[in-house]
Amino acid sequence: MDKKDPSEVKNKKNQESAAGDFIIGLVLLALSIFIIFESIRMPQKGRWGFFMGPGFLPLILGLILLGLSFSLIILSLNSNAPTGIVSLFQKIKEGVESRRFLIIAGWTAIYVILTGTIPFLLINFIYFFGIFLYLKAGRLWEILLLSIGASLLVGFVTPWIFDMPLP
Amino acid sequence: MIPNMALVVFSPSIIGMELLGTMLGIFVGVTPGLTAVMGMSLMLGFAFRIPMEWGLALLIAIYTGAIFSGGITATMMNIPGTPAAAATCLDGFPLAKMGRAREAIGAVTIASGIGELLGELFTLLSLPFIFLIALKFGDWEVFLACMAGVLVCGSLAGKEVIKGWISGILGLLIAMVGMEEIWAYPRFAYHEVLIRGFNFVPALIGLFGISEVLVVLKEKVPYQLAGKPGRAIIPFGILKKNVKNIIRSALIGIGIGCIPGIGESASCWVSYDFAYRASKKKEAFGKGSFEGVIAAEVANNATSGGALIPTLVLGIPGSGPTAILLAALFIYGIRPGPMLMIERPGFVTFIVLLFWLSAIMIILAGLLLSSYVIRLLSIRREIILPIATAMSILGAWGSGFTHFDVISAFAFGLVGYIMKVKGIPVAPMVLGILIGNIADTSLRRALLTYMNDPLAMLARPIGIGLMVLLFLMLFFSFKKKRGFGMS
Repeated sequence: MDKKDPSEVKNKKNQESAAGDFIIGLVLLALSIFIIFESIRMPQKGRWGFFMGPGFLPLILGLILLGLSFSLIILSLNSNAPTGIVSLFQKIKEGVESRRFLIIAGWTAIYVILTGTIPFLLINFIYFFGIFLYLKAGRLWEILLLSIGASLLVGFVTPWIFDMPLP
Repeated sequence: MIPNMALVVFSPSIIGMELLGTMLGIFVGVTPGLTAVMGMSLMLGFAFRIPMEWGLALLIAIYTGAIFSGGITATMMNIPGTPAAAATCLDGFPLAKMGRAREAIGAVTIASGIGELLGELFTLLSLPFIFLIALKFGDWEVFLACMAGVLVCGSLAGKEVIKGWISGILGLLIAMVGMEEIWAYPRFAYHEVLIRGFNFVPALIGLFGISEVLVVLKEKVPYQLAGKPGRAIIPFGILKKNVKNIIRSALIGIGIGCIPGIGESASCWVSYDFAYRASKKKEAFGKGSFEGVIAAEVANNATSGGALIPTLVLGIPGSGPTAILLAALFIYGIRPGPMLMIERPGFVTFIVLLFWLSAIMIILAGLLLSSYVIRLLSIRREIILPIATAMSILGAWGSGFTHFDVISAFAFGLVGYIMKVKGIPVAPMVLGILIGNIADTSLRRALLTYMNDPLAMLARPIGIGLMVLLFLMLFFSFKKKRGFGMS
């Protein structure tokens, strides 16, 4: 049986991490350039117009972010980021955790979007029932009871205590 | 005057209101998604229907109860109930995972109570002196203090300083979205919903709460807390060893609380930093250090004392909850400001005594209720975290009663998830969002004031002190081995 060398595994993990930092660095670089250009375009008035204008602090922050994202990119390149990119995407595509994240985030997104459209107690019950079922929070009757209890807590008790209007 | 006020404060009706407020505050602080500001603002309506003394007792008790119990969820779930408890996560949560939740909660409870008591004591004794210093704090100093807060938080919150600072800068930039206060220009408002900018509470909820839920539940077998649940254990031995830490953290909390707008959210980080630097066991920080927990909790509770000073004496809130308190005072017909102590002698003493009473309440309630709270928060993650998510959505809704707030909480949750997976700490971003507008407005007002003589602005003594502090922080962060990706 092939035994993976622990140092090889660690190396691969480091490269994948560096690859992730590299991608984030590129995104932040693009963002910082966008912010810098937008800040320069913001209105200026009078002799000291720019310094007192709405674009001054965003420009400074954009420049700092530019510097920090460059540093992140360089540090990631020093850790062999490009070699880790392919394995990182493979890991994301095939990983169990990625699948679980997508399902849970997707279900929560549906809950968020439908909040306010469907009666709050009902949407809470549907959300809880679905997610408890997926996470195998217990037997079916336990999940049903938990869903009812949780929906009442979130959809009735808490808003009642604080006299809050419901979505 | 103090004995007379004590008779008023320690009356059954006030004690009853404090008890009610403490329970509500603990409920709010323990529930991810609900914050002290939200709890206080939602109870404002009720507070105005009862006598002023009762109303103030209720609001103050909610404030202190929420700040205290925010540390409990930070310890048990790695979800700080309030931004003030963000630093508590770093060491409280590892302690809970190790099976030492009861001791950690005991430390949180006692540190919170002591922080509150010391904070108010120092406030009462030093009010005239701090008032003079607070008056000298201009816009330039406020701006520098904001930047120092974000810098410190960024340096400490994660393993790599560069990622911490990126997070802080992004937070400041997010705060720039929307209508700015001086020219009413809508910055980065590419859609009409962005004109009002991002509400702080949904960002907090998403970045701390929803992201943590996603990170934990994506694991096929989410972590469960080790150790049997039970009543909190007060680690007396540990507290005895941390006397210096407690006093130092209380002073830091009061000092930072005085700075308008910064409040508890920054004081916990500065205190944590000082505790780290002074510690003989630096390697334990971030892995379950009681020193870290105590420093953060004492400071964030002591801040309420410091935050009272600009609130009562200058009419400028020292933190979010004190902004609600300020609103309540105005509606009760009380005018905070330099004349307060002359127009209403004894009022400040009354407020301080209310805080003291609430400090005693949180110690008692904390210890008596701790076994239930620990048991509740030790429930399987597969059950408690979805409930936390729904509460978070409700909390986001409650912050502004708009669907945009709910959606932005979720969006921040996704951003927070990516950040956590990539080792980018979320706390600096939250701090940046909280103080970004204050920093921007202060900087521009300072430049406006000194536009004919910018050197005079740079020569302000407190400003020089803060700039030196900023440079020292930068220098030590560069020097630190765990900064900039070096381990």
